[in-house]
Amino acid sequence: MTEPRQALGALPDDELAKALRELATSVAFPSPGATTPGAVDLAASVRRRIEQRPPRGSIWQRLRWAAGPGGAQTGAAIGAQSRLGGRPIRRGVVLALAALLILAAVAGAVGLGLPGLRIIFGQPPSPQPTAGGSQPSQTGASRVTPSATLAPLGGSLALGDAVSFAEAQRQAGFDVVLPTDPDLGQPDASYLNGQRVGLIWATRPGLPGTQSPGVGLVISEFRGNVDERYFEKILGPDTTLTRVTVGGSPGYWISGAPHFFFYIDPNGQAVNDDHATVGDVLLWTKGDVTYRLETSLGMAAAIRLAESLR
Amino acid sequence: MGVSGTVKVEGRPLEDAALIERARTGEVMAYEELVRRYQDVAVRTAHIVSPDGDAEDAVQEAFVKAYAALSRFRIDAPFRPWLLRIVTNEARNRRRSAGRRAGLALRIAEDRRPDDAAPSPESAVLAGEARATLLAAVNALRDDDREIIGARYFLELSETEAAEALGIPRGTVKSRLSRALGRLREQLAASDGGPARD
Repeated sequence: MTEPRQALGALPDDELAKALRELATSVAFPSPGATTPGAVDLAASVRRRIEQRPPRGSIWQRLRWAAGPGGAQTGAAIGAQSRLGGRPIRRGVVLALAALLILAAVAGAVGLGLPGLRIIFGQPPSPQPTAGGSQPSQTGASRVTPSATLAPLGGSLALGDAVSFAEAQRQAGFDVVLPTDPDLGQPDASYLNGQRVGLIWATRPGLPGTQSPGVGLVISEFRGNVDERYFEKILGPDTTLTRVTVGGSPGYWISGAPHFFFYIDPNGQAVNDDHATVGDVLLWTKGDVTYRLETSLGMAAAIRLAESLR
Repeated sequence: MGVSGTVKVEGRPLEDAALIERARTGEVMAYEELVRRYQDVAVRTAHIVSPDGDAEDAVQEAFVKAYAALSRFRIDAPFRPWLLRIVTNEARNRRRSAGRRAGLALRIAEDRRPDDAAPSPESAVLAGEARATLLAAVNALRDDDREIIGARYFLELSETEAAEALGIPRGTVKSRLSRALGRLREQLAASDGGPARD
């Protein structure tokens, strides 16, 4: 028998190359994907890692990414649904980081700010979620959400889990206050997202509709220490901002195009307030709680409503 | 997909460009498709560059980094060698920290007979222990020799692709390969056991 070592060593280049090519079919290479039972799916792992970090690129790309798959480019069903389903907290963190980058870029240029609340300008990263997911990303008030009526009132607004008002009060950890207008009474639907309370009132005489069918008023209440927490609000170019006072507390009236914001809670955790904007927004802080009121009533009536919260 | 008026880029299906464009706009699913397309060659590359490293880990990291760098990728360039360059770098980084070296190995369930044809007279030379002998000689080579042999003969990369994947000048591929084959012969000629490392 020929000694293989010597036989191989005697091969000319092209024969040696041929032997090496053939050898390749016998080499034990790791195989990615599902070919090995129980193996980790490499492509899926990569996707998960990518989804957990923002792409390089412009700030707006990062913000669109942060807004979810599909995002502002397509308004695709997958994007809308994932927003409806509520984004995991990690997405909020990334959104926060992206917004902080913007903040760094415009620091000093925007002199607005409540204690613990800073406002920055920018384009909304995503269309308002629509139940069907097929709506274009215009911001017009004529948008319809056909399946919204199937869910609890405001169920498409990503406010959190639908709970009873009593449950919301219990879980909030602070006194949840309501407008004292007897025509409003208790909310028609209550939502809880962590310790964030979202309250919805249906349209009624004196409470016109908003961009979300059937919804006349949305009030969100968050606990926060103004010394440790701050808010970022990102506003589009078609959004106007008015500085106001609500019962002596500083606040802003924000009207026009949709916008979004997030906050960082006292534990340093970024929370993406990704619930959809349904109308003009009154945002103010009082004590250690921040309030957000959305309505179509106009600024003066919104402030009166806000000042009636007890 | 319509191809009229589109210049076909060598070494890359047209769909790659479309997937890359979509991935650039943040469409993660498009990128996942690219990953599935190239994960096999990527893992093989990482394994050749760093046989004792965690090839899947290197490849995963490389794909994540490639995604982050996608905006810098020239869309009319072939994706595969660009990706393999990143994979190679990741695998090389892991190689430095690797201690014990076992090298490339033969498959345990060795498929002795290719199912498509009887072994040719030429390939008969690789029967039995010849495979183990040849692979042992490859394992005894320096890293850069193993890389160029692996790129050209195990991965079947073109000279251009091999140059980009390994980060070496295109013009040196031939001569490097020739020298590597020479040293492979020296290994085979060396007395049994101890590899003739330089």
